[in-house]
Amino acid sequence: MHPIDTLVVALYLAGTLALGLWLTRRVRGSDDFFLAGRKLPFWAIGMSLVVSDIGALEMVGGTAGAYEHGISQANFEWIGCVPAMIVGGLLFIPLYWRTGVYSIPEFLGQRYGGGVRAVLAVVSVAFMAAALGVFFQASAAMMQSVVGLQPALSIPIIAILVAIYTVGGGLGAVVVTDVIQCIILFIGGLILAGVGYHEAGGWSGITESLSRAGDATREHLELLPGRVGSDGEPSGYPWPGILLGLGLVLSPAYWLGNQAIVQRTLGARDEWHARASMIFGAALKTIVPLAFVLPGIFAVVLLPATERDANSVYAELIRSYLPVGARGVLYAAFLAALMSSVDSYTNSAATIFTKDLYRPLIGRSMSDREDLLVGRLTSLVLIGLGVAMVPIVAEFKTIYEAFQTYLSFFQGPVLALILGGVIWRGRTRFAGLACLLAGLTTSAILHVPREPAIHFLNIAWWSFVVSAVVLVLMLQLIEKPVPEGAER
Amino acid sequence: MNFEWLDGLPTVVPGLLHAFGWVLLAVWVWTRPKESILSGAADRKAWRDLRLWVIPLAIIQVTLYLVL
Repeated sequence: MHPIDTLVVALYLAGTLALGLWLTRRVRGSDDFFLAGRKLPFWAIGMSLVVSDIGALEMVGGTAGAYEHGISQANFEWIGCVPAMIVGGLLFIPLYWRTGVYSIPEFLGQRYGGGVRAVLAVVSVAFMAAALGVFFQASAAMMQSVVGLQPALSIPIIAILVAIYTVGGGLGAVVVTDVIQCIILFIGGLILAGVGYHEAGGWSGITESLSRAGDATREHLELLPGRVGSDGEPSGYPWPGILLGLGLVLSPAYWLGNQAIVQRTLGARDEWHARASMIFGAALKTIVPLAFVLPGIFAVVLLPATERDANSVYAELIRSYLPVGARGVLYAAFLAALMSSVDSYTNSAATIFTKDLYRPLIGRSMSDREDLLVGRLTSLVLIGLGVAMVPIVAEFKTIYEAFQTYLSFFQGPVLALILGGVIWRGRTRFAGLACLLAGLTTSAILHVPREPAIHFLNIAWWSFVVSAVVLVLMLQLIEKPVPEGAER
Repeated sequence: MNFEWLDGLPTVVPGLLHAFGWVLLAVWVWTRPKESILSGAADRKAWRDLRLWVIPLAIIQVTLYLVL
């Protein structure tokens, strides 16, 4: 790495660390640690939502997905985010906000009982630990490709850096550093997209090159491709899975039921800011593919057609086409993306563990200071768990696929529970648990290897359908919800 | 389970389905009462009406999916 690039990266790291440590002084209780004292403005939450979701996944995995499957990768930002964020902002977030809960399992526990709360808390913490593994894996791929740093060294360095300010400053530090990271991320991503577009010969150069390249890239500029491409191979992201699995299940479940997302809005200074944060985030999501999907398509044109790991494409583009200084901004942007994802998931998983598992099961009489201590210790342990998960997620073809496959396991039943919890405002004991178990069992059965394999987007759809049917049948035929405030 | 039965549909169908979904969403957004949209807001300035924020997003999304 050139000394100027090193200087840019060092300045970014020092600035983030100093800001995070300074914010640590503001944490006096668990409300400050888990919900930033409920003082956050909409624009900061919106930027934090987007940068936490973009993370290293879009930079490395999103570009890799576009390189492999084309512009249909952008569906994960558009169909996969924008509509659900609008519905979430106008309908669901205000509902969560008014209940004053800390977490989604806590909200669902109010509707479906302690069993659902506990199972969902365990599943959420396990998912977030796996997601941390995905983020660390992305960082290892990038660092190795760019500076030749071995994963055994790069992963612990990132883990320690994030741990320092996340464990100390909680959600406030996470969101404020996310704002800085969001700005750097967009600047870096758009620089690469602009240079890539120019080098690839503009729009006409790109379309000509893709059609010359053969059947494998003919559908690279189709947003909603069919199930089978013109080369006879299955499409990466066929449209029925995009519209049904991603648009109607994975996306709403993620934006309405993912603790790392919802927790930020719960820290808003008032209900309007909570609503506006999601709509503002949706606006930012609209421009994300410009920076983190299009470079993957430019790479098909720019990089020689050789056998390569798709996850290394982003790093190759930076190395081959950016001048000194701009490369440093991109490296800093990558670190920003990674750190924002890791800090968000760490803080959210610690919240769920502390509020939904430790406190109800072990520490019912815990003081606020003990809450804070458990939250901080859990954050540390989770970062360690994420590092331990790296070898498992390395088995997937692209990092993005690993993340979405994890999600497809339980997003269907979670969405059914959230919708049911909003439609039927009463309390039940067994209906929610039956729904959750039916959905998870369906996902597990459909994930069993077979020929032809069932696409993970379709698995999400079917697990949602089964969960929803079980929930409706339970609520209509077996267990009528008890109105809030009424005795059983 | 992989929706093989949809293979025969014209390629324009998914784009139209997507646009129809956005029309439904836009109608739903505009039927939300203004009072609930502004609930908790510090003032009643026009820019705080979040329904106005949704319009450009809907236009951009529908255009993208009908063009690409």
